Amino acid sequence: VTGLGSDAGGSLRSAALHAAGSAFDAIVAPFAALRRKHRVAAATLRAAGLPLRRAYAIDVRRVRALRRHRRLRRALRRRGPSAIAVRWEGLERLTEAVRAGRGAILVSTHGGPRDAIPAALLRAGIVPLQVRQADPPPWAPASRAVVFDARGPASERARALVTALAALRGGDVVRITLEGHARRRARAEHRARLGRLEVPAGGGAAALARLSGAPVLPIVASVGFAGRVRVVVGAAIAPTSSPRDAAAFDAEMKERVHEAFERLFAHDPAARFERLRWAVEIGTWGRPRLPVASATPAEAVA
Amino acid sequence: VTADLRTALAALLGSVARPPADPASLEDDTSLLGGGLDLDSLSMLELVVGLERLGVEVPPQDVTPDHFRTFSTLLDYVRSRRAEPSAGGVAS
Repeated sequence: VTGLGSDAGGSLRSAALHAAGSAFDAIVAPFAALRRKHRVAAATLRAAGLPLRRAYAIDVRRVRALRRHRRLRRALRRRGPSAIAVRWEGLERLTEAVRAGRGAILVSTHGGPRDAIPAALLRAGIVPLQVRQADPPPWAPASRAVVFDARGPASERARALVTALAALRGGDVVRITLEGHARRRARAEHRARLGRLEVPAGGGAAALARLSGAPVLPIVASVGFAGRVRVVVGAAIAPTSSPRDAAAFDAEMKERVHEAFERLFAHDPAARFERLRWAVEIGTWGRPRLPVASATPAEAVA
Repeated sequence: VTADLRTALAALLGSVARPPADPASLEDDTSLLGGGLDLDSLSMLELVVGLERLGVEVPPQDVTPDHFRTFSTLLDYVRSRRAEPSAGGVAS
């Protein structure tokens, strides 16, 4: 829906720079992936009990993605959201949900170009309230993020959720992550997603949907060769009208959201790869749980 | 009314705890965060919504350890909010 930046010349130059950078990455990444800090796929695949033969190729792709995201972040810091070109798919799903007046819960995953989604939303004239544990990026309106200290007591995170609930009741758009925060430790429920790897699943989106009546919309983003951001919004998942059993409602909602992400990832392999990039970094969340023995690296990442 | 408020709050806390707790087991110094009930953020969200149903609006900036540390600090907070005209009365 939204396309090139405010001036076509600047966007073309930006696209050319991104493309040149991506071409350079293709040369550099095979070497950079040899560095210990970038050799993460093998560790993940080993933890999952999967064969390691594609680990190096996965690490190279990961390095290229990291470098691409870094360029995007630099462009955003320098020029703000107008620096990026966005290709939307499914934006109308979000605008329809907003028009309905019950608020909307955008759910994104950890990993991927984390600043791309809020920047793309700004370009589309939507300023969501972001529930996040890190400081907002410098170009985002600070008032539109509720930042919590993940190392603090549970009241820190509860304050963020209460703020989000109030925003939803006012018909606002809230963005929250699928997995919850990074220090959920043993309490985290695990769901079998990302190919055959089980990864943490947060309950914030489901609880907010139940308490506010707002629909949940999954959203994923990826960055292309020339720096264009592709953002895909999944179909709105409406909460059932009168949930009697909160636990059952939340479990069902989480399942529906995960299924929606699986469909999005099937539609956008680049976004699935971003999820892998996040998954290999979940050492802070704890080891991924055991996979199905027949899984292959291709199933885990493709 | 004070006894009703205490009973209602204990019942609410017992229902939002995971696993649910016996309201009768709650003492004044029962910790809500960390040990004791060990409420997580989602339980606290349910607690805040439950307090709304009791007629006590809890603004986000009030969701702090000072107010939610123990049963007695929460009870004191609810009483103070109840005393404020804008907060509304407790429907107990």
